[in-house]
Amino acid sequence: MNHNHNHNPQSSDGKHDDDAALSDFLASLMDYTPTIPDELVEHYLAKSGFQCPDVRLIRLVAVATQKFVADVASDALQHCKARQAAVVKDKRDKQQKDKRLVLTMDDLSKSLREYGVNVKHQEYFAESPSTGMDPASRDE
Amino acid sequence: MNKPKKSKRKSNTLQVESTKATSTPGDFSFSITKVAVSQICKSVGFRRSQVSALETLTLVATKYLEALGKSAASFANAAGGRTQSNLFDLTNALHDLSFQTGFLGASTLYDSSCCLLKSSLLEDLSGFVSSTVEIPFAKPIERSSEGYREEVKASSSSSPGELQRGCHVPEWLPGFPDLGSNEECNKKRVNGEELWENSSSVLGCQTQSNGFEVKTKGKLAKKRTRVKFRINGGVKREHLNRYRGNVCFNSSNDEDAEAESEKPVKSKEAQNQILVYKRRKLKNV
Repeated sequence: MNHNHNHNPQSSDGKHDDDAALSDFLASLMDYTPTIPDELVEHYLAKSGFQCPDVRLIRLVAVATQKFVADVASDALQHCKARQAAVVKDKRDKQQKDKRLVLTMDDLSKSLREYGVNVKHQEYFAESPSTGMDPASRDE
Repeated sequence: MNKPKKSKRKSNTLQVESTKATSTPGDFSFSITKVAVSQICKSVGFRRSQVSALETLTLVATKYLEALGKSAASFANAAGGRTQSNLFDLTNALHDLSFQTGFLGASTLYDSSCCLLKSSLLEDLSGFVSSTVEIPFAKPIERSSEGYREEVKASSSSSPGELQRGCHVPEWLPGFPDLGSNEECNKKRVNGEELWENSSSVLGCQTQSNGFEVKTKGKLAKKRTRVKFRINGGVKREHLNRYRGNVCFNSSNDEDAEAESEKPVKSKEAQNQILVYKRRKLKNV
């Protein structure tokens, strides 16, 4: 980690190290390209009244959002894996391995609940004509 | 034939069953976010996604972005009326949004010894940046605001007001009105409306040639009649009546006071005469 690298236990001036770590981090944001593009972040920030000429802060917002989404998604992935681990083994083998990892509304609502967002799966609306079919047979 | 196409698509983004045609700008930004969110989901390890789940996550991500911006802007506004947010506001906003999940040092957040920049959230973010692989957005986005600005400049380049505007005026504001249009205002209108500076209330106190320069030096040009105000005696009478209750004035004295309050006070001399009269009366009693 960047922070641990800079932290020198022998130096008495710990505050200075923290500042250096922070400024290093902010400087590293200049080179880092977040997945959420700057233009998009600027658009949404301008919509909500946020004004800042500094690109690094906009990148910081982008990184924070990216981290949030990644956290939610990885939680949902864990839920998904845990759900599939509970299924009996011979049933599991029938499904192809790479098709198992599907982001579903159930997992997403479970993981979002931990972040304070209460989402409920819509129950009676089909999102596409093939929704009710078995996922393995859907592609054919 | 379909197979190579599909694999190509997979390498770029998550597979999503249907894509809608986008028309409004809200839909446009939403669909761009959807691509970014699906890229993140793919990097986490998902292979496929339900449409509704992906749209929900995208919506939550946009709400998160907006909440972050709003919170930071309001922190900046509250911290002394700044319009531009800085790192401190953003850190505060991040703290506010992370209280739900909790973070290191949340309990000592408002201690005086706690430094905002030592926040564990910022450390987490720097750890995230250094640990995750950069996944740039699938396609470069043309900056929509640039085209807009060019358009604005092109449309208002003819007006001299555009050149005169200072740096304090934000770019998104429209240009100042054309000076040439001022002459159009000077023509007489159908309803007899006039510019304020040409109206009769202003013309009296300004010189004709020099526009706004006023030469009267604090004095009004016109002489005006004096205006006097007299407060009606009702208040005074009530006061005196209350006084009577406490001190027990003579009834005759009180009548005098009432009569006095009804009459307007003419001059100082008259008032003095009344006072002398009163004193005499009191001595007699």
